[in-house]
Amino acid sequence: MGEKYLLTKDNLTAWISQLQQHGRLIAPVMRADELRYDYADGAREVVLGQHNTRRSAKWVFFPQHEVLLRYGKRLDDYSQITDTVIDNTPQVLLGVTPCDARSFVMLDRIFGQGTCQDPYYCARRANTLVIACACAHPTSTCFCNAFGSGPADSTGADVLLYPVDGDYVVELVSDAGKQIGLDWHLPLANEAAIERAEAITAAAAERLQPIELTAGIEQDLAGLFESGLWREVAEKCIACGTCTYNCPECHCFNIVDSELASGGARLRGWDACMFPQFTAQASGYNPRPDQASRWRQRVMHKFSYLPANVGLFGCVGCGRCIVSCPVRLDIRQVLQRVHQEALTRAAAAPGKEG
Amino acid sequence: MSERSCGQLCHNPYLPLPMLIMRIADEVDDRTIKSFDLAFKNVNDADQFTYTPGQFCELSIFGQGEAPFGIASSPVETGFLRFTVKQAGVVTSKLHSLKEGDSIGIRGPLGNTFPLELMHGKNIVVIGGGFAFTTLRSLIITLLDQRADYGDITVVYGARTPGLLMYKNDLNAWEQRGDIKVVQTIDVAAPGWERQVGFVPAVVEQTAPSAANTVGIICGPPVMIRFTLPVMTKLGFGSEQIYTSLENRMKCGIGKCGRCNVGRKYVCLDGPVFSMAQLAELPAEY
Ligand SMILES: Cc1cc2nc3c(=O)[nH]c(=O)nc-3n(C[C@H](O)[C@H](O)[C@H](O)COP(=O)(O)OP(=O)(O)OC[C@H]3O[C@@H](n4cnc5c(N)ncnc54)[C@H](O)[C@@H]3O)c2cc1C
Ligand code: SF4
Ligand code: SF4
Ligand code: FES
Repeated sequence: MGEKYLLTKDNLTAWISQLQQHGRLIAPVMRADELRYDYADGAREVVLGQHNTRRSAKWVFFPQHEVLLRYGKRLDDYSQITDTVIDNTPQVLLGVTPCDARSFVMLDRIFGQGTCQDPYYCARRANTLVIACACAHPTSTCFCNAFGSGPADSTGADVLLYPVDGDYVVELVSDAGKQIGLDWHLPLANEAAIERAEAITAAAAERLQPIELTAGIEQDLAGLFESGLWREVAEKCIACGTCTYNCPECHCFNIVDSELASGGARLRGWDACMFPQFTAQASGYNPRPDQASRWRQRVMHKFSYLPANVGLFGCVGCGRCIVSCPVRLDIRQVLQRVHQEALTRAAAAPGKEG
Repeated sequence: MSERSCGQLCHNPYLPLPMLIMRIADEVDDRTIKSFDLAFKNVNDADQFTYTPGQFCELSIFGQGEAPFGIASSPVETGFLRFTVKQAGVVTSKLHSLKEGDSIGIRGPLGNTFPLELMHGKNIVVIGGGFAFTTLRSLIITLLDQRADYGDITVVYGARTPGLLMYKNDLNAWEQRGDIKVVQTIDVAAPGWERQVGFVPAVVEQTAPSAANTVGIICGPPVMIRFTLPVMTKLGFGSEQIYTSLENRMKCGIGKCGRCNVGRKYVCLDGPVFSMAQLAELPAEY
């Protein structure tokens, strides 16, 4: 851990103005009575160090809808295709929670790695400085601790702010963060401020309910593909997809064309494994024919396939899906059921000590 | 920010290459399946596009969208790319309304290939049903081009009626050759049909290709595959000797959009070609 600096409340406005010199500012702001990540005019609008927003920050790199390319009026005239919509605007994403910052690391492995990279995501990601704010207000639905994380986790952040009674202790995390930190000319934080910062995040960590969800989850899931538990879990689910839209890690998308008089656009938009049409084939056959198989996909993808494929869970424990599910389905309870079911099976299996 | 792996931007994988429709041909007598022979509009694209049997492309029609199709031509047939398309929904209906001389786009080649290296020096049995013969055509033409590299080649291809067998010119030309055994079959006898009659599984059983030192490739409707696999097992084929190609719904074709997975494998990246042994390791989500 490097040096820590002090940003006082008196300097906050000037510092945010400085950030705006660096790039377009995105931060938690109040919009229609809701705290959300949005483009911010300036310090006056920014709400730092609050509880989690209802929606995650993933749209900053992976918008809900975006234009992949445009084409001219004559649909067969390929000389008119443009893919120059790649957005290289420098941005500063200020005040994301540590769980949101951490979610970007998994998304990077999907969009930024593999046989080819996603140029739209990567351009935004490469041009955006991520300044996270340590979490002083975990809620009853937070479970980042189940992933070995916590309120002061700096994973995925370029800079981490610790709120200290209106002031901030500033930790420069990544090379990019250290680089830009040079321009801020902040004084070093004194011992007292650092201790206070640590005490505040430690107190926040204390407030998280101790929870064990991820140990052995991949092995547990391995034997449960055919289990009846998915039917029980999905019984109440109305396939609204809210859980996936609000989730920072869900990244499934659809590609559709939109035709306009002046030409058209090929658009990408969020899609969800919870929707029945998601895997329907042209013949009418659907390999995931019921909501049980879709809930299973959601859990398997996050807790079995992604760990196997990219080495990270597809969940950071932000609790958004729990808060927003209209029928109160709780992924923590589902994971606990998975674990119990695996234990029961192990106990019942002949020839194995249970 | 900058130190992440996203630094290097390759070419935009969502950008279709412009193609000219050179030739359109009906493949079946109810006119629901047409072959489209496409030529690259840009010489550069043509030079860079290299593919292997089993791979597919996303065909792109602006205003309608994209859909994935196996490449039905063989890399040894130069000058065109062939796709054989059954009319099903939005994109395929629009495709069927296009004319020679129109333009469309393609993205690809995508996905893995038939196991040509493994097949080297072995006997080959190709089993196809209905319109799932597209990449099998590509494969057979490729095998015949390097005929000496393979042992016996047997093809069993079935359809409901004679008029629904695709690629008739190719089939008839192969029948004329002495170095490949072609069995064409239809479900029930029809006037003027002098070849085999019977369902694919039964015909495979009669043809009884030896499993020794053989690789089997089977593509067709799920019922055909389901009933043919036990026959092949009886003939001595192990699950690692039999390959098939999956058709899960796709969008991106590059392992990003999360639509096509079977368990932890993405059909667009890790497939579409899988051995039965590989599929046995995966949940039956296809
Ligand atoms: C690897 C691969 C290779 C393939 N190779 C070939 C090939 O060589 N030849 C070939 O012909 N096909 C092939 N296919 C299948 C082909 O991709 C599909 O037929 C094609 O995607 C259909 O596209 P479409 O836009 O015409 O249909 P869509 O418009 O997408 O519709 C498909 C079906 O979805 C349903 N549907 C769509 N929208 C709705 C809605 N709003 N509500 C309810 N139902 C709806 C309908 O049943 C419709 O028939 C392949 C598929 C894969 C994955
Ligand atoms: S699955 Fe739920 S708790 Fe986990 S990251 Fe997504 S929204 Fe948050
Ligand atoms: S939010 Fe709840 S009801 Fe809606 S799809 Fe998700 S689990 Fe089902
Ligand atoms: S088609 Fe998008 S992941 Fe396979």
